[in-house]
Amino acid sequence: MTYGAMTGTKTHSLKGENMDRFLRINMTNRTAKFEPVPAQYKDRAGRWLTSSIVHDEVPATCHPLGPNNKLVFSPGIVTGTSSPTSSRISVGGKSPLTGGIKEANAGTGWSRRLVRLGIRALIIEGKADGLWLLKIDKNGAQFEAADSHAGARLSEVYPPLFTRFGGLKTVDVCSIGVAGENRMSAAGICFNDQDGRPTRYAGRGGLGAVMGSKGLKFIVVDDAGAEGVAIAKQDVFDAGRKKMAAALTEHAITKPRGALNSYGTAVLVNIINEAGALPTHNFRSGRFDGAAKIAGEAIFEGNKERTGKELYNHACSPGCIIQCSNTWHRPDGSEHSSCVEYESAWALGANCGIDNLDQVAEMNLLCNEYGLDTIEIGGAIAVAMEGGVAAFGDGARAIELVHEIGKATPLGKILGAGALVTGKAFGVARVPHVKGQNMPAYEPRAIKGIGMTYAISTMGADHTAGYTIAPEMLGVSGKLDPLDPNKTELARAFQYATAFIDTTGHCLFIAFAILDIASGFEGMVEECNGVLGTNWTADDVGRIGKEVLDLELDFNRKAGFTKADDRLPEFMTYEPLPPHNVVWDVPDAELDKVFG
Amino acid sequence: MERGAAIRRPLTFLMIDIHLYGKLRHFADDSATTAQSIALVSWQPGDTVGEIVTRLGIDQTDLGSNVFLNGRYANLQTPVQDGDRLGLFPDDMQLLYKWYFAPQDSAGAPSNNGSGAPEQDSGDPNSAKDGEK
Repeated sequence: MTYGAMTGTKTHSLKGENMDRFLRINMTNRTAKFEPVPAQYKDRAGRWLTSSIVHDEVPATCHPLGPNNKLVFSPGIVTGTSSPTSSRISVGGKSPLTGGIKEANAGTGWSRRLVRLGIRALIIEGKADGLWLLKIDKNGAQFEAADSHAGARLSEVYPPLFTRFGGLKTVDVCSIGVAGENRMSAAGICFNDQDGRPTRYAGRGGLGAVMGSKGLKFIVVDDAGAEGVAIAKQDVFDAGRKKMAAALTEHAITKPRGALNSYGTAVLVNIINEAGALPTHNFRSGRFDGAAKIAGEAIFEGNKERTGKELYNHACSPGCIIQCSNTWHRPDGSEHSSCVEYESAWALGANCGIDNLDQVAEMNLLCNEYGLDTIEIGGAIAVAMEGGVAAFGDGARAIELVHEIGKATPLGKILGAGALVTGKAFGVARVPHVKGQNMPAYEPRAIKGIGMTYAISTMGADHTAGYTIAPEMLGVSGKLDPLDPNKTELARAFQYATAFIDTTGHCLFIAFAILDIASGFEGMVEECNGVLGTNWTADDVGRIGKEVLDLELDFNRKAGFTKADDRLPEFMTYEPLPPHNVVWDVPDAELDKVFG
Repeated sequence: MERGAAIRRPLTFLMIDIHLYGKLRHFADDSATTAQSIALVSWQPGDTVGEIVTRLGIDQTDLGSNVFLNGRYANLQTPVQDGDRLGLFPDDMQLLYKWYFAPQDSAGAPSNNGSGAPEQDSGDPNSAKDGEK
């Protein structure tokens, strides 16, 4: 179809404008406006920019699903360049799940196309009746009604959209599923992978519900004729990019046929289980008897058996060296589900006591079809099992429960509202959440450092907020003193480093390589200097990360959060976790010291 | 829990269980990836993880940083006690920063072996460069 077929407001032209702009969309009257990047946001991108705009423009006390919330998309600093593993899109807004600020990100070519059109941030405001498709290309922005797609599975609507708008070589698609349309707090925002599968999610915190509340169903981005990303200092950029690529290619975890490429993130199932920290049966135990059956090794060998060949993983987005995205195949060899991540295999598997990989893969597929965060849904189903809705281990019933969400039945809407609401609905005390967000796949009683991250993160229980905020780190040099102030300094440092990586547009998994290989870390800073023309050093990584966290903390304070929200659930302080038989015992004062 | 249940132990030797993953699984009788690949190795007083690993025939350079003794991060110098569970992952499965986990007692949990030995340089290629620099 051509532009003439589109209804709605006029085309808003990008032509003749300088590159590097904001695109502001008002859904109430469906208008689009291009703005120069305000001076105070110079050099900001990715999480730094989305959190800045949410902090500065969204009233912290607004209802997340009301007209005053905003949804902000921003590619990272080096996204759209030749830098490897850098096609992340940062999405921000006020979270309907936590009531605080939310930043979720995903790897997708959609991010590259947006930034190559010169759009540093896409800001969605207001609230429309009905469902709409927004198309963005070099000629501007257009709207058309999308009500006819309501309720459909995403794998049914993506292929016709690609066909209509010129195919995978021309466009990438962002959308919500039925969960977002129904404003469920576990709804994520979906982006396609390189093969057009609707499988890459800015999953956590219910940003899909925010998009749904605005009446926005699809954002199609076409970068044909785009000028691309301007690079201020080409030689500096090139030097940095080479160091980054070398580090990723060399490191055992990130290199081709390394751990992530061979086994995917699900390699962690066996590792964390061996450590006694794999949350099982709604966080009752740290070991799952069926762990090996749903682990990365089982996926690799199962695929080999069913397809007759060794399948190595693929890149979720253009330009990735790590390539950790897997597929799971049916007994007849046909593709069943992608991507069965560690977090998903755990949430829908071990946490629900389910050790059948085909059932786990089916639930994973359904979450992608309906537009759901697999972690929150696995958490909600496990809590529902605790409440007697189903038996632990009953995979067939668990699949039915995901269908209930897809049909938006009353039971489905309770589950789709997340684990905390599900716990209230079914009278369950054991709800493993922080700030209303279900914990991911690391037991905080067995891994105290990640528990600290869960407690103090601005995002609610989030493993990606600070990978290494571990008191155990000090154990390397001797015995651990839980009151040693150095620990909180390290805790801060790693949350700051993470916020910086989320700002560059790189995938967080580069951390494995750049924290082990010093030249890779230098390369990350040099790439940014090359694009922006800045003279940042390693010290600026901490400075910028701190600025991001400070903005997020300030938003949460204004939204009403206090130190009392920076706590793990009470049951973890009195229920010892097997096999280590430990409780959560990090003092509150220690948590409160991290951000002061 | 599963340890000891399905495994018949020779009465005359003290043994420890070794749970093996990835390319190390073939050192166990059952190397199926969907099962527990467990090898039994004889134990002598004073043994360390490194000695047990060598006794099983595993080249120490094939190990990554993911070495667990009773579910706690360990290294080649960590003392091993009779009845311990050792978990070994190969060098292509070192998907965690080792500082995720407490060496010995440092997370405040009771340790099964009670040795509380301080962490030393394990010879692990990642250990020296890890971290906050």
